[in-house]
Amino acid sequence: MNKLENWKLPVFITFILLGVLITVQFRTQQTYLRDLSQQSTDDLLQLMSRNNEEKTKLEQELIVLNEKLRTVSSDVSTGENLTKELQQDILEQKTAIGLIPVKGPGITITIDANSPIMYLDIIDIINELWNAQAEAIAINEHRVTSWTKIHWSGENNMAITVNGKKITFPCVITAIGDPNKLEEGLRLMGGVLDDLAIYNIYPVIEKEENLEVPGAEIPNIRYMKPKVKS
Amino acid sequence: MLALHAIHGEADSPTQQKNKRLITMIQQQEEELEQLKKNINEKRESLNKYQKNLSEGKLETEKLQYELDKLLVLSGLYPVQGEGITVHLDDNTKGKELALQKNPEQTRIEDFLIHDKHLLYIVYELRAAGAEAISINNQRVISSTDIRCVGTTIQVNAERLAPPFIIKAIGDPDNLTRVLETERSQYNILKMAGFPVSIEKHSNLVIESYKGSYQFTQAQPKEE
Amino acid sequence: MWVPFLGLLIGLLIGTVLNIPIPGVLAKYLSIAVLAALDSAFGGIKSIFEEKFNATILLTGFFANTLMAALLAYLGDQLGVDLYLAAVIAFGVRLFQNLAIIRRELLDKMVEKRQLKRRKGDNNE
Repeated sequence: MNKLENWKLPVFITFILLGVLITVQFRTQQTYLRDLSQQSTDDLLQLMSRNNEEKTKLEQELIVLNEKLRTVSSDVSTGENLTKELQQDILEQKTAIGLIPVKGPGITITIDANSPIMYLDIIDIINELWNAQAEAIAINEHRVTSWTKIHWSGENNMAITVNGKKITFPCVITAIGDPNKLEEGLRLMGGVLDDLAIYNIYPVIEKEENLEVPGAEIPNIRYMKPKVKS
Repeated sequence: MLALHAIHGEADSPTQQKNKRLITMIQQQEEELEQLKKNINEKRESLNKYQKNLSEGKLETEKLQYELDKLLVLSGLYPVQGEGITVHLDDNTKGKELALQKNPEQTRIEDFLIHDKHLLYIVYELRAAGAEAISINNQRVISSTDIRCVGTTIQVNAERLAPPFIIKAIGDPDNLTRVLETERSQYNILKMAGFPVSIEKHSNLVIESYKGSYQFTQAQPKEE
Repeated sequence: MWVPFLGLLIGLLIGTVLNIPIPGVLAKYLSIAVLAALDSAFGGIKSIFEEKFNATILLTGFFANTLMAALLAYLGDQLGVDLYLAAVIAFGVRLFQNLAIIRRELLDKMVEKRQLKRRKGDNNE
């Protein structure tokens, strides 16, 4: 009988531990599907190649930053040089944000007026272009930035608006980058073009040497502030 | 649980061995990328401090520094804060278990997972609602950020992310929420399909800076 | 009898809050460990009914079984033998047996209680 009375605490502890173990296993099981060990060889190779690309870009960025640091820290005559550096930085940032018109090689994607294209398709195309290392993209005369609003209007979900304005057809998406890479990215098997073909949408892709995209207007920022250093 | 055991039961085939090697290499790459991003972030902060120190006291350089700072906020190189919302998205594991119990033959696991397109379309919906800064699981989303699936993993800015997904957006919290809750929005579609999703409003969100590269090899500014 | 339920609930809560990440490769060993843990826990309950309860056996058994199940599965993988299958069957069978015994005991108790009530009722009249 004595043994029986002492059962409560050990059983309590055991079941607490059991509960913890079960949730940990449950959580692990949930994310297991996404784990690397569940991917096919092809997908693993793709991940590796993307990582290599990214590594090259980051290493290049580091070189540029190191160079700038060296210039700045050895800049004894802080007058003219600093002004020039700041102006250069400003130009680079404006380019990065998309405020400046740029030119270069790339591709144009033309979608004609009769295509039953939806705004989601436009988003898919643009996403694919960025993935193919595009450096600047424009839809008709709108430069695509991180504030570009691509949405729909009207009842039938068919009228596509960019920054509030309905886009005109034929719609031309211009992307500046390596023309071969850009086209390949779109033509991937099971990719964007294949998806669009299912709905009878056949955009025309042309590679060009000299393309231009306009700059975007500076966005009207009302909520975002630099983080205050605590 | 037992079904998963059955799958795991095979001894290591040559493919699995090759995969294991690839996985080790990928994990190494990811560590290197992490380190590179940390270095880049440190250098950017140092550079910024240096420039600020040097430009102090001279009207012209101070003006330029001020303009540069505003641009750095826009390009994502500064961490930012402000009002906004967080959107929580997770795989529909409960739904999947139920479906597997009821009808194992016809259940497709992909139908119960969050896909790259879900994240992509929600990001664009947030932009349409006026979001000024966005991050997914603390990965800052910039203009050239792409979101894609490789197998069952999702990559944002070439960084592999796993659920649960927490999307932060700075902007008008009411407007952002309203757009996401409209009937035809991607968020609402997930919600109606039984996915565990939720939106929280915040009066002060912090969004991390972009730690990647901003290199242009093909595009050049057009001379006026 | 609410003690195990309450413990389980608290355990589930703690587990959810802590959110300990386990590398995907270990997922399979973790699931067999959970099976072993379940077996130990319900073995403990059964021993209460059989009036053979021993706290030391329960707790040491819990940890030992859980760890050994995972280790055995891991060893099996290294040797290329599906040892974890043996563990699944062993723990699984015992788990079902324990649950059956517990069910019988609970039913017996319910029947006893009802009989006692009826007898008391008879006596009062």
